[in-house]
Amino acid sequence: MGIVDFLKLWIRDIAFVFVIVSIIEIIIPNNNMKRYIDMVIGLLIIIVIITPFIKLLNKDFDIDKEIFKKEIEESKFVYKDNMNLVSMQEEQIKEVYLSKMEEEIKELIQETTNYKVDEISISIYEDELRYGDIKDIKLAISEMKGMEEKEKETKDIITIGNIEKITIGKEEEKPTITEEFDKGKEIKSMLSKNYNVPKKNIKIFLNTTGEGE
Amino acid sequence: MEVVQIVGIGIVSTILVVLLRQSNKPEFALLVSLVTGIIIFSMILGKLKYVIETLSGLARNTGIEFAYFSTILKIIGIAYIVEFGAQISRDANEEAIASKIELGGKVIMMVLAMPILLALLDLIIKILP
Repeated sequence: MGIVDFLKLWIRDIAFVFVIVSIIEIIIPNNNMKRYIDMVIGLLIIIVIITPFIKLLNKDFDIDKEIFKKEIEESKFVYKDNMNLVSMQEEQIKEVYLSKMEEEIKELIQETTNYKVDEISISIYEDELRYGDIKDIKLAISEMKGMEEKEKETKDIITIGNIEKITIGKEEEKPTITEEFDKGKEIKSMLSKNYNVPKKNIKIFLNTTGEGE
Repeated sequence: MEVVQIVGIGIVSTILVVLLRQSNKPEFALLVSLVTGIIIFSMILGKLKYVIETLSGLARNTGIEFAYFSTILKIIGIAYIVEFGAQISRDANEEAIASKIELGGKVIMMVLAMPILLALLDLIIKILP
């Protein structure tokens, strides 16, 4: 940048700042608050005048960054007592996030396969590096049926009262189960692709209550 | 012709306040002046927004960081709100409360100005060889 450009930018900044300051002078109330506003405006003018020279003298000093740092320090100082509140808020945010993710996975599975999700539980990483990434997913799914059958099925569940949970991958004798095992694999690979979770951390259980009849 | 409206509202409410002060219910005078303040302020709010947006546009064109400008705007806003509250307290002859309101406003303004001040001091110290 040539010296002419440098001077041009500098003078333009100063001119703009004085125009803005004179407009601000009009709109500030004329009581004893004026002194305080004048002080801040004075600081602003000093900053605008000397900023180009800092860039010439000391290239690695960024005043905007410095001010931002001070603001963070200040808010830390002011809100030191409110840390409890902050952690409570974080807890709430985590809960909302988890329930959103659960809803999303439920919808995904119901849209892409013919299973419906009975239960779902997700846990997420809480270290700083991977915060918010899903650690593992546990799913309990059952086959989707027509409305009447579904009602019957729920009735049956109430009367029978026990829900068999079968881990896919362990039961391999029956041909029907192996078919569903493939399905589970499909869901697993879909989930691991969409949410970047390792396959071994996804567990899918199949509710087969309705099939015993 | 909003000037006429604002001045009209001001004159009408002034007459009302004077009459109320002389009547046997002087405490309503305070309410009238409060409501007048709010009405006039809400009338100029849209225009004030235009002014502020123009100023923000100007500030973006310069090399100055936008954060300083928003700090100044915040301080002006605080000054106005504090003045509004303090004047109402003064109208009700509560000088002590008015000065407390002003004290609060001043402290908050100082807190807002502190980051700029500290950074400027840092800058000066670092520039010195």
